[in-house]
Amino acid sequence: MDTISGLPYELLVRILSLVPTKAAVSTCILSKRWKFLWMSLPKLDFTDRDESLLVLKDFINKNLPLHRAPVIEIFLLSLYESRERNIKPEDIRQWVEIAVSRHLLELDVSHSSDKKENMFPNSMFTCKSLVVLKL
Amino acid sequence: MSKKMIVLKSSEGVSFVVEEAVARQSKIISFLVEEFPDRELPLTNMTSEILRKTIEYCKKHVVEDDGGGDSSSSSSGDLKEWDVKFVAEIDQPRLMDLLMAANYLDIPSLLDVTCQKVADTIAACNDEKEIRATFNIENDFTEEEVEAIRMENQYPI
Repeated sequence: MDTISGLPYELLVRILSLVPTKAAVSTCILSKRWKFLWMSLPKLDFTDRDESLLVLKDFINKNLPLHRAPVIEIFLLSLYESRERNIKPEDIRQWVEIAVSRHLLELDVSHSSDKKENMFPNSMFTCKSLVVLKL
Repeated sequence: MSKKMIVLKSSEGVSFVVEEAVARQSKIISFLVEEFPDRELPLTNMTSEILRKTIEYCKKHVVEDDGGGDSSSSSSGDLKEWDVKFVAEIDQPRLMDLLMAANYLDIPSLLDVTCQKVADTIAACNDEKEIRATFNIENDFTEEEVEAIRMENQYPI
């Protein structure tokens, strides 16, 4: 095995957590060893805008419920839509709910929607692990 | 007062005499020194070359504990710059060995800089082909499997 793939799983995850999330996810196609590594990332940072948001939405819907990190340290969503409203506040609420259930430490959400009150599940307000909240 | 020295032995059996304060940046060595004072410490899974590099790093980062005055041998800005240069000069396989050594010896700051260097190298690649080429990673997927992953994960790929 090549030297990098021979590193222990937790070291590879540690390295990937220092790479921007999108690039880290893209390593799933490198080889079998790498396929699921990104699913243990403790920091998730999804920053996107407009036309790519539908793809991102589909991706988060499919993968976030299966995310393997026992603790999500940071969940960051920075989504900007100039016209379309592909991401609904309910989508964000659902994602935040999942993140909160993984002992979330830091939540940072910005979205160009005016209905911010619908974005946050009740569980967020009673979440004991949450230390930083940026809205 | 003369400084206390300890002896670290590489996998090739080469002995390195190091100031205890330098070696104690490794939490493992720090523990071993207390448990087994005045003993030579065999590091059987570290080559002389990697041990030498590790010691070089620890020497640069040692905090002089002489009770007052300038406690660090370098300012933090200089030290960061030195770290960047230190890892930039190491080739890929040796960087992995050094990363493993930092992990094994439990030297958190060395583990941080080596992991960061690998992460930066991955992030600087344009696509998976470049990452594979850079790290010499063998693609063990079939073409169908690659296609299936691409269909599943259109977001990043």
